[in-house]
Amino acid sequence: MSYVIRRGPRKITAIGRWAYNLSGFNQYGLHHDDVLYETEDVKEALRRLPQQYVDERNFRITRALHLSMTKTILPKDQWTKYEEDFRYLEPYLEEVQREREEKEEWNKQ
Amino acid sequence: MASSTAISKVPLFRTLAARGYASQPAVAAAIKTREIQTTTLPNKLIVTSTETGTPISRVSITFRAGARNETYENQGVSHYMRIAAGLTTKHATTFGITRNVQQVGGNLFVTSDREATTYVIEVTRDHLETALQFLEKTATGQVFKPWEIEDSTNRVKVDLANIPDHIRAIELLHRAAYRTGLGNSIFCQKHKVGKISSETLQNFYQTNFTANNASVSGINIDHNTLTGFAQNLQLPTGEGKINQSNYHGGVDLRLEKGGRNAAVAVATSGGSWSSIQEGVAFMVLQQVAGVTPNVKYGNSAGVISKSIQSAAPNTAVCALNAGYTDSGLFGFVVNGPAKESGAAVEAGIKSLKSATITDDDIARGKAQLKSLISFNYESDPNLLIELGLQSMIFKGVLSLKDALSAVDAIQASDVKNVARKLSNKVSIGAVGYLEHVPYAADFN
Repeated sequence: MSYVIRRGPRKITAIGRWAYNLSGFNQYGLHHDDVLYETEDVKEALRRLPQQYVDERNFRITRALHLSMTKTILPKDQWTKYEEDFRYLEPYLEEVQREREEKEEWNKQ
Repeated sequence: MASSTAISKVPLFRTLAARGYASQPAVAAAIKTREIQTTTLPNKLIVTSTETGTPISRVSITFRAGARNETYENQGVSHYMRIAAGLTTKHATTFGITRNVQQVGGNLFVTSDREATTYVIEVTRDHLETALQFLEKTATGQVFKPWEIEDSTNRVKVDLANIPDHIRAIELLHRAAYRTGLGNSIFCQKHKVGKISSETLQNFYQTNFTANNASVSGINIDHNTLTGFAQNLQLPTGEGKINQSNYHGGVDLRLEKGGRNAAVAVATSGGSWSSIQEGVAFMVLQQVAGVTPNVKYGNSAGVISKSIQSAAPNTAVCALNAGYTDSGLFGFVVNGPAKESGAAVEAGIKSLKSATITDDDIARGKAQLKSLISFNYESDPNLLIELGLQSMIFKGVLSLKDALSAVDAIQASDVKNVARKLSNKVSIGAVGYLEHVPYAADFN
């Protein structure tokens, strides 16, 4: 069983970089998977996530909340870079979605 | 003429019934029922099949891997292997396996003992294809998702809570007799529950569930189909880890549980299946010693059971013969009121070491064993397990005729000879209220 976690986008594009920087969460040091809506799928994927990643995620979220409270952002050199965005939840989330789709497909019959 | 018309009506009814349950024409074609076919594949995987004419097909994959393959660190992993059957594998999800097997009315389960783990699927003949597919998806390419293993913890706890006292006593007896290897319990220890990781399982699976430790058996399935199925199984390769187990014995393991009863298992070193003759002789001896009563409300006529029951009339007794590939245990299990347990164990051990066996006893034992074997071959689920185990141990399967003639070949002197070997140190496993249960050291 191996979950290969990718860093950065599948394909680096200028428009992608623009959109990523515009969204602003990176200025709090967050990654893309830190700011997902916590749907049922995401909750299940988080449950399956190895503890180490969960801890890192919780640290980033706590730091972001603190920054938000003090109305500041991180110094620019600590912002998450477009190329370094860590998609730790992706393989788990995709598996959860596949399982859910299988159930939905079955229930259609 | 009237009688011949009457007779012809019966087969017509039977044809209809057979067609209703199983529509495959192969049923009618298979005339040579109960003939056992065996093929050994190039990767040493053994395929056996037979035809019994019933509407249910049964296929199993047996691995020569069980509790004895565990090490000290990963004790309990074989119990977790049982629990993990049907969980998500490389090829199918838990949901997919359960729903698809249910949809065709199939039954998928796993059983394991100290030496073997067997994955079984049972289904009506017409849905065999789907069933085989999911048997393969369950038994091969197992990945043990950590969250699913964690979610299964409660199932392990339920298993542990359901172990009857006499089974616990037998587990303790094995531990006392062998220490490691065969001494490992088939049940996970309480302190290990929830601590067997996905990696441990993965490692155990890759090491022991290999092609040359495996056999595939089928009942009511075409032998070529089964061979093809077996050839396509993607199994790990390697020799597997076999732990040598020597009889140490001479000690007792006692689990104080209070209550009013005591379950005690007592044994000394017995026979192994390294030679069929020895194995069968010990099976005869077990019948001679006395298994559970064959007549309702009756008493067992066995040598050991009679002497125990005269000393402890309210105690249930059964001779124990646990034969493994390289070693074995022979003794008895008593289960009854705590106050009687002392007398029962003492009488049993005395009889175990010095009972006189008459030729009548041996004739009775052989007759009982033959009927036991015949009943075993008669029932499809038992026959399937038998096919898997025999092909694993003997690299081939005895037909019913051969099995019965193997019993016939046992002479009274053979049984008496093996009975004389029972002079090794005794080991005791005891569970319950143990005030009166004697200690093994007092008998050695």
